[in-house]
Amino acid sequence: MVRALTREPAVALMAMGVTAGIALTLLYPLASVLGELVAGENGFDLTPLVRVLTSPVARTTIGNTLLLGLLSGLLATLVGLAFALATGRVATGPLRTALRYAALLTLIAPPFALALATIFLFGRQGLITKHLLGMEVSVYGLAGLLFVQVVTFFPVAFLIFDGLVRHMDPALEEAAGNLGASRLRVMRTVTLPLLRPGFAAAFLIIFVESLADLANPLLIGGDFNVLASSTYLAIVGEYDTRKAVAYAFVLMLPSVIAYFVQRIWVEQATVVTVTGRASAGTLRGFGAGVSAPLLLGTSLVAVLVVLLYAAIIAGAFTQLLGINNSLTLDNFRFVLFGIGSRAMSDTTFLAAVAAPLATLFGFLAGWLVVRTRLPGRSAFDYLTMLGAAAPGIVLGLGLLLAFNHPPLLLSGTAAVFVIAFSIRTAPLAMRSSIAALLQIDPQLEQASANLGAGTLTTLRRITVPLVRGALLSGLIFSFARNMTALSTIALLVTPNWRIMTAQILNEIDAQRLGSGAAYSTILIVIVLSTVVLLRRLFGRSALELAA
Amino acid sequence: MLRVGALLICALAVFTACGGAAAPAAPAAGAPAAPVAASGCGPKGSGSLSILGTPQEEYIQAVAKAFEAECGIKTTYVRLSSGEALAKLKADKANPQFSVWWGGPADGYIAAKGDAVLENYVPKNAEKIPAQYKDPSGLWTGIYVGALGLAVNTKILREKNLPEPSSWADLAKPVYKGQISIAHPASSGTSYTFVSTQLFLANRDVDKTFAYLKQFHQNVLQYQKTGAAPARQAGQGEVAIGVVFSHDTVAAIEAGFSDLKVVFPSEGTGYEIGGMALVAKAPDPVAGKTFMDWAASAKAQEIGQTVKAYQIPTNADAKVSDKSVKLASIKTVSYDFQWAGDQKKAIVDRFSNEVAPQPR
Repeated sequence: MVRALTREPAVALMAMGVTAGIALTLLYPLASVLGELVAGENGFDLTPLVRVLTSPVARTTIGNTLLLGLLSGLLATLVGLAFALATGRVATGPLRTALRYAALLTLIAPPFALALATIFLFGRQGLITKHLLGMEVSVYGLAGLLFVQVVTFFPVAFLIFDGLVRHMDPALEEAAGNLGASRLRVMRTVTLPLLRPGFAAAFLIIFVESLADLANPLLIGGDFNVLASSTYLAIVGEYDTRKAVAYAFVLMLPSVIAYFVQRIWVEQATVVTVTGRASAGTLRGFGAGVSAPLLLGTSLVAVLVVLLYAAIIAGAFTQLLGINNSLTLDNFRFVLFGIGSRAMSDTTFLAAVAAPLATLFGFLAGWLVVRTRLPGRSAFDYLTMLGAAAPGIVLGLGLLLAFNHPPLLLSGTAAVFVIAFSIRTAPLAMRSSIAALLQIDPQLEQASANLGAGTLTTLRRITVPLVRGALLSGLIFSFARNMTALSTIALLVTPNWRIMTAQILNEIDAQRLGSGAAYSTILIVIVLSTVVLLRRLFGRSALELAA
Repeated sequence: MLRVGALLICALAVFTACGGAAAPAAPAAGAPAAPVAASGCGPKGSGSLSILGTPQEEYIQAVAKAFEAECGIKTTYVRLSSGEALAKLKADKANPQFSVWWGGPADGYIAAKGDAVLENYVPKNAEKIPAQYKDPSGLWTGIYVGALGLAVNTKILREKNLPEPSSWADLAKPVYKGQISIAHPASSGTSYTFVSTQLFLANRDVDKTFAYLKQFHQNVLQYQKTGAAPARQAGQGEVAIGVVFSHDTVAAIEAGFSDLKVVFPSEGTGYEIGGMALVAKAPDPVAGKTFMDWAASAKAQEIGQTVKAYQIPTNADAKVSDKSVKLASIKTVSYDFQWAGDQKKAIVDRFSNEVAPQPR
């Protein structure tokens, strides 16, 4: 069956499409940036890279970046896992619904919004820290940054684990229980090992996200310099594109290494849980020793998330939260009738076009990697990941360099933004497709093929319905990410297309936190209503995710 | 799945339809043209103009609107910070998208010198602009000036029982430990203006300046990434004192940070010049030049204060808002932009290696 697949024209066509997509939208821009790295005024020249690698300041920055990425990845993965287990196995009724909403809320955090809310609630003059607890702490630096990143990124882990928890075969745990294992032992030896692909995928994605994060280090990083902000500031503050490219190059290395490590890990740990065989029984709870801390911990995080969002919304409806708390609608008037109205429609349109494209691309790439024996197929996986691994600011620079001259003169058009959004989110769609496909026994597809269905029919009728949850979560995630992307598009803005996040950055630069919060609130409303719309379109059951 | 497919096709169709018909209308409305006064508009232009602007967005928007109304040239703009703007100009070099770069610190324009992305042009009304606010070779022309000052949070000073600082020397006193916010000079032109101000005050004695900076460093809570952030930090009470351009502090006060006030250090302070320049191989150089002539005029420079941009106009005839500081009323250092620009790399490297890593 496998050999037949590679010979089919449809597969060849898909492989060609994916190859062309990767080459044109990702490799070509990155090659343009690489050209900037090695090409000095007098030919080949690596001085900026050598300078970055040998300076003690840069070495501290590299250390900081890795430390933050590791801590963020670990903590956010654990929090996401806790939420998946709590909502999938312990909590019921309204509590379960509330926890799920809280876990998905920060997926739609506009850049700067959570960091601003954190400063407001937990800063030196913070509502909670100073006025409630009487403490004086500074949130600027590693601790504040880590806090904001974990809150921002744990939903990624939650989405990944959620699918795995749902698809778990109750028979496995039941068997362990029947053989006399205690609940904790079942958890340790059966439940968690079944989730192993999730750990790797979640940690990797969050590690890379943490490395690429620009807005939070800019706002709340303080002295704690990381490579992404150094890259941005080399352009913005020092007018030194080549130094920025050198930083960016260094930033991409740990991402790539992390990626290889996780690949080896996943390949050793592949677990098939969705088989053609019917499984009996329902999943049991974990027992109070596990359930109580799970519920307590996740509820605490959920309350925190709600508080942060309340601070953003309060900021939008007050003159200046914490300083002048009188209510006002001025901030919205400024955004809706001022500069911001165009930004709203432009950004929503571009994000809505890019999200399905990225999801489709990610799924096809993932399917080619997992289900075919195409020579060099793992390159799809590895290369697509570059879109997430490369810092946004560098991708933006690459797109700018690559598409501002013939043969692909796309500068200033909608296409550039759609590409910028898609290459950033396709990796997640691909990873979640791969994770979902690995859980599905290939025999199901094989059966379809044996009954005479072509590859496309099998894909459409068997594979896609089985991974529908992963595809939809990819779609939602992509849309939310597009709406909130900043670093990738910062250099691409033109008079023709206005982007909301760039406007938020302007507002914060101009000290107008109120209208920044109003923008953020509107952005959140747009994304939430889109999720509701998708639920209507695809039916409640297909999108259990959202509730 | 069928429905997913339908949605995709739908999205693609919309995309191609809209991709072709990109370029929605410019934000500026086609208001009836006002009679041409002494604005330097010249004969009614046709053509179209794209401005790459660096100051706050309403300022650029207001200027674009007024120019379109007065000179009849269709005008669009994009706002990018100074460094992003330069990166964009460099990347766009083969196919420039903008005709003029307007606003943003002169050091950005000086940094652009080697890259051949700008073209010499001395606008018509430039004789009204004092020589110290223009490039001698005519590459850029200053349109506004901003003076460095302290954003002081009076409420926090009262709460902490601290005296109000009145000089740069005060900022090095131990009482202000952890109460000062400033950006890092490597990433912020504002902060580098602070460092060079200290250099000019010390008669360019680098060692003496660094001795001061090391003491000053003891009081800095953390170095921020961007120049105006300290005004916000001081406004929110995270620190008592921010070192920023005074118009950023005024903007913060206008935005509601009512505990702030501007203090100019008694030794004298430094300033930035906001430049403008013609882009090399501009898509519409005639429109670009017409705009620069107009933007150098007193009338154009008075637009800023109507949209809360309180930088000081460079044109001697332009009225200064009472919310702006009058340059004549404060003590300034004699600031040599070319020298400061030339020293920047060495000074910033020394700061990064000798000052910033010091424990405190």
